Amino acid sequence: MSKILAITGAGAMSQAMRQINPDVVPAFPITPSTQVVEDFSQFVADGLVDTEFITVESEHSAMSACIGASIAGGRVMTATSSAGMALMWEMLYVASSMRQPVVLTLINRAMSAPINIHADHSDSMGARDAGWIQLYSESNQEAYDNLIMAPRIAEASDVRLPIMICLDGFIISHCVQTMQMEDDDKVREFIGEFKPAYSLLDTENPVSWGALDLQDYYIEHKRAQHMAMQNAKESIKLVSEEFYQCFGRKYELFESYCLDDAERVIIAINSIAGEIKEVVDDLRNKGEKVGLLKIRSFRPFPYEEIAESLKSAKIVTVLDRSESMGAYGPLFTEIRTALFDVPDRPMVYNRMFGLGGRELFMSDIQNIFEESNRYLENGKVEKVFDYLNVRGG
Amino acid sequence: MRKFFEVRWHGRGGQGTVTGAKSLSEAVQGTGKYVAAFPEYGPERRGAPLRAFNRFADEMIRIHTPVQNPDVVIVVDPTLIGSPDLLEGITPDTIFIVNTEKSAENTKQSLSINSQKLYTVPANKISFQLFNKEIPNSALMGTFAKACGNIISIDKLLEESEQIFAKNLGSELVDRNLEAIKKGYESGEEI
Repeated sequence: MSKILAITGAGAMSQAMRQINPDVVPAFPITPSTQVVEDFSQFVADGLVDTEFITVESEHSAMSACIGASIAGGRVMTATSSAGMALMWEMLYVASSMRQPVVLTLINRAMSAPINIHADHSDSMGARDAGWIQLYSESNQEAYDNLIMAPRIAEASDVRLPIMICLDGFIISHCVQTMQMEDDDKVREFIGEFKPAYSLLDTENPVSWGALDLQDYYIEHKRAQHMAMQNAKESIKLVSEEFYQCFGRKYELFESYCLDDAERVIIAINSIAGEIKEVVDDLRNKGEKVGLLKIRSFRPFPYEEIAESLKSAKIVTVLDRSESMGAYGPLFTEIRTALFDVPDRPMVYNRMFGLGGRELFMSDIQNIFEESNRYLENGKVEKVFDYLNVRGG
Repeated sequence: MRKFFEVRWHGRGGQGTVTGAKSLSEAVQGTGKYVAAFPEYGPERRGAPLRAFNRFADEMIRIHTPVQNPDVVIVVDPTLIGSPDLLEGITPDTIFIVNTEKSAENTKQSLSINSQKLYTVPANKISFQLFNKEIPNSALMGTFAKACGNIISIDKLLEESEQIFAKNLGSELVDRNLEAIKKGYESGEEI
């Protein structure tokens, strides 16, 4: 039986892992993702899963063990945050380039220094070019649902890429929220059995792994990864549709909230979308044509679909929660690219917020919509890039 | 009624404030409401002031920011009485629930509140009697049920808490915590 319960985001992720029952989980804990593997290790100890749980000496080893176990034909999962992901860095590329559908829960946390344990997206955005599918989650429910869908999306035969499910540290990971947890059997039926395309343990059909690949073929393999990532878009859509049929919650590549006739639009990622929706509702009640576009899939990035959805938009504010010093925010760069070929494209500008967990209140979001209204009336964006809620601004 | 019913807890690290807030949300979940509970995490230090929050609503709760205009302020640590932080964003309708052995009249003066409703409860004393240490959160949950029966009745709180506590505690500690809730409910004094 599915049930409604109050649970933290990290707790929800460990429950999803329990239901998925992966073959191998190598793990090294780091705040704020610790509870995910801590709870899961309890499930292992209690015999609730069949998983081989490997405690390793570092995140580099955690990802290495994930890759090894995945090559051996197992369904493999782990979790990390921030510096933990940074230590996996080398192996993130190896996982994607060896086309292993490893599933990672990434609880977004700021990169040091200064040391900070709170949410921003500098960890996952730093890894955006590592060849992993990246799905982002607004709430406990979405993070749980994304993780249930993750193995299927990643394991599709024309994809075979690793996937990270991202959610905001503390804001979601440590927040108790009401959500619906689905029935164990129904989830396991939805996930199905993992049939690896190739397995190291399949001695009848031996293949080489980790071969040297220089000028003669390296670039073809990179293009193959690029094409697999393009295919992931379809895989996300298919699995999301099937998830909707099974469990009744609808997900697309991005969420369009009051977007149909919206003239002023905010584009954002993860938990801040909740606050934005509240403000959009308030302003809509006053007759203002405002809307939200919330990114779910950042890799692959749905350029054409987003451009299509912003048809009625006159001005777009892109909120980034991770810096790319000396450049615009990573989300803004993508959105501006998506809009470049659109005739009568809207004005678009970038606001940086929330680094290291700094709050953005609903009143701040109202201010954004007021500012975009001013820009619209003046027909000009005064500041393409600026910080929100910062001293000395 | 406002869309959200919001609670702000003020305690110090190590007193079970965060656990109290989470347990309260889990219990209110049992009434069919949508809930949220979250702490304000700074450096996690025993003894440092910290805040935790609850939101309750009849629809999905989409906001995550700290509670700014609390319906209820719960003061877990008596040494925080008098701190201006407790009064941040309060309205004339805010209800105070304060862990203290001092009289309600005296506490009202120390808090510098006027029209607001106040409940005092000797939660530390109750906790020492039952656990021989200072974990006032269960007693404070009981007083919450007295002050905010519209959110959760004492009977429902006891019923839900029994299951919540049983997830992490043995049966004897579950019973003592339920006793603490009852005592917090019974000895909460209103002014």
